[in-house]
Amino acid sequence: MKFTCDKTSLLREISFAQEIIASKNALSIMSNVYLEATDSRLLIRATDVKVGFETSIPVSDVVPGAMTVFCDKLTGILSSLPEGDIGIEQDQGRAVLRPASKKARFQLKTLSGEKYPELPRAEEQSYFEMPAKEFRRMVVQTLFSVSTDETRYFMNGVFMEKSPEGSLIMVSTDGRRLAFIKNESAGSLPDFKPVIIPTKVLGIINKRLSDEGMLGIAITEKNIFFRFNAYQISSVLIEGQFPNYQKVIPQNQKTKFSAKKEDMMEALKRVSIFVEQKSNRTFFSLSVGSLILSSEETEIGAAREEIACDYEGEDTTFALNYRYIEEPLRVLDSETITVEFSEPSRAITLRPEPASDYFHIVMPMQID
Amino acid sequence: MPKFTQLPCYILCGPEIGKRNSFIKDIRKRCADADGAQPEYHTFYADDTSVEELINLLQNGSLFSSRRIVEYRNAELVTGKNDIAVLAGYAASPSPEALLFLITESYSLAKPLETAVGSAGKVVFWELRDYEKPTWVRERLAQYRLSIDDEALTALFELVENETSALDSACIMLAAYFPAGTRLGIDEIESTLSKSRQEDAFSLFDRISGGDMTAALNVLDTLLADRQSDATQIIAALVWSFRKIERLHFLTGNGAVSGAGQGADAGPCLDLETAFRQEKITTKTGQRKFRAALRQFSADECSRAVRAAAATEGALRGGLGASFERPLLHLLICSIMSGNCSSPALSGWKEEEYYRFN
Repeated sequence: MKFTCDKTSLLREISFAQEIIASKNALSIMSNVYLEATDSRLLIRATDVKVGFETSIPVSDVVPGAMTVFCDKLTGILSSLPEGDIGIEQDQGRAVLRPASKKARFQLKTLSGEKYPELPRAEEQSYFEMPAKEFRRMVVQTLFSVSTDETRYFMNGVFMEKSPEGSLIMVSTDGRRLAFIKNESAGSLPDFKPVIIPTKVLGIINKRLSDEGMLGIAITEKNIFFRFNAYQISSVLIEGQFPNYQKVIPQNQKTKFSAKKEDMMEALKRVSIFVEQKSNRTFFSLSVGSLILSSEETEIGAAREEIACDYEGEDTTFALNYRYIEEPLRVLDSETITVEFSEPSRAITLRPEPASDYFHIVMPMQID
Repeated sequence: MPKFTQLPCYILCGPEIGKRNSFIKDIRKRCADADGAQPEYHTFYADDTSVEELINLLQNGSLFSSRRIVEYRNAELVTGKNDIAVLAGYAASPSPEALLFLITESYSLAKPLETAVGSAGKVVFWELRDYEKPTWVRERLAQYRLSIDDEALTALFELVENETSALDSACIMLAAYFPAGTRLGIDEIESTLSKSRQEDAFSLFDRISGGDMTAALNVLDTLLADRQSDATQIIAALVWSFRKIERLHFLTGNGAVSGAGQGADAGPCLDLETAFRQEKITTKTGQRKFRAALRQFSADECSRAVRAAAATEGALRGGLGASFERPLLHLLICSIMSGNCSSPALSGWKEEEYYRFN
């Protein structure tokens, strides 16, 4: 097996592959990237068993063949080289790398490509498309609320379903907060069974997907497939019963206040200096036209900041985990935000103002 | 939140896991009955989950459940003054929607925690006394319409930990293997329970006396990876086992016990069956294992193995510390199994030749 290609193109794809590979054990084939040269293209595959990645780049001087090499080291070698072409040749169980611009030669042990795990495939006709920008927006609104508690594995991913009206819904929760988005501009969607998508693949999509063009999605019984640019990414789905999220979406929250998102984020950042190391509990005290954010009193001290808000109700105080407010605030894409609530011990809802197709629900903390 | 009177915080102490689990199960059921829904349930370990994370979870309302129940195990590991104060602060002013079990297998927790929880919230689960155990097992087996011989009962206690959850699992397994109406004898107990026994320091000794070094080292690694066993317990079990063989050699006239000095009597020259009885090795499996060990190790080798184990324990408690736990135990086993210091692993080892056998 032999090929020559542009080092930058190869490095870009190998770095992507390295993000997929979880193992750092140089002796395991699971730490390797699969390279297959055919005609004028190099097929690149990587997997951690759960997530699969495949792409191809143009290459020249091809002698067809396949091999796998330790991806971490290959990334390291390619990163260290200057721009230009690189020739890679398989020779007696080793991959020999020769950059065109340097009198350098690197050898990497290879393992047979035949032993590399097969990646799952979806039938061509099962793919549907939606604007990449819309899908990415949905991921951004939900990804951070996923539970990291492995004992609640069914909450370790983002729930995706098609609503009866044909919209695409994504929901995530860790049991204390919930993120919801319902996209009505996803286009015509085929029917599919609701799925729970692991965070790893969504994190990769969020990082690599541009806002231009369309994203191809296919869903099978056990896997989800994404196709964009020259990439095909697959992931096993999380099996399990996602909680009945509709039941916990507050329906009649009559009290609300609005504030500038930037003011709230800045105040929260300053007050959080005193809540970070403890229980993250932050107090929000409302009175007409004013919101006071404050921390608990500690031996070290306390913080308190007042910001202007649009509120006309009775004086009230609730406590929230500041992280549960800070994270939604980062992704709310409006200058002003609205917080809806009914009483201090019940869920609050954060929305952009004007209201959009998404919102975030947070359960408050014990006040004393 | 439905009305339900229940202490919001408990300290559950003692080594009796089965009784403790029953206590928790009962409270969970009462909560579920009162709420009309299963409470949200979490289990954390003090060495994995910080007090801050615990408090955060207890104080934060849940979207999907009206009550949160949290088991915080190994609570004796909460030793920092600040952590104790935070936890005691919570116990003094707990969330009305949460129930916290501070769990330890020792008998008490830090004073401020005990004070904050109060005596009403502290429950100690004692081990079954020796005279209680037979009745407990017989009653449990009777639920499956099984009965058991006295000798078989002794064998069962030899194979199963003195703890009701372990005894209960053994009874369930016996019920799965044997039809109702069976009277269990020693053969039934051994054939069922000795195969299902988990690896422990004694099964490590079995591998050592079996002469399979790879298997022995694998078992050792399993034990070290399992939080239930630490190096000191492993060494203690090995020392106990080697002393047992040494005594069997002595009783059968094949050697003196360590510390008896030179020229000590060779022992009463009992036959092996009598020696087994005297040493309370009653099960056939136990006897088979000790026969193998007697063939594998002479009384003198046992005595040297005990010394090597003691020296290893000294090293572990001394400067070498826990960082070298695995290599030191590996070396100990290699030394014991390779006899006259022939293991290359030992050459050049500086620790004052404490592994040397000759």
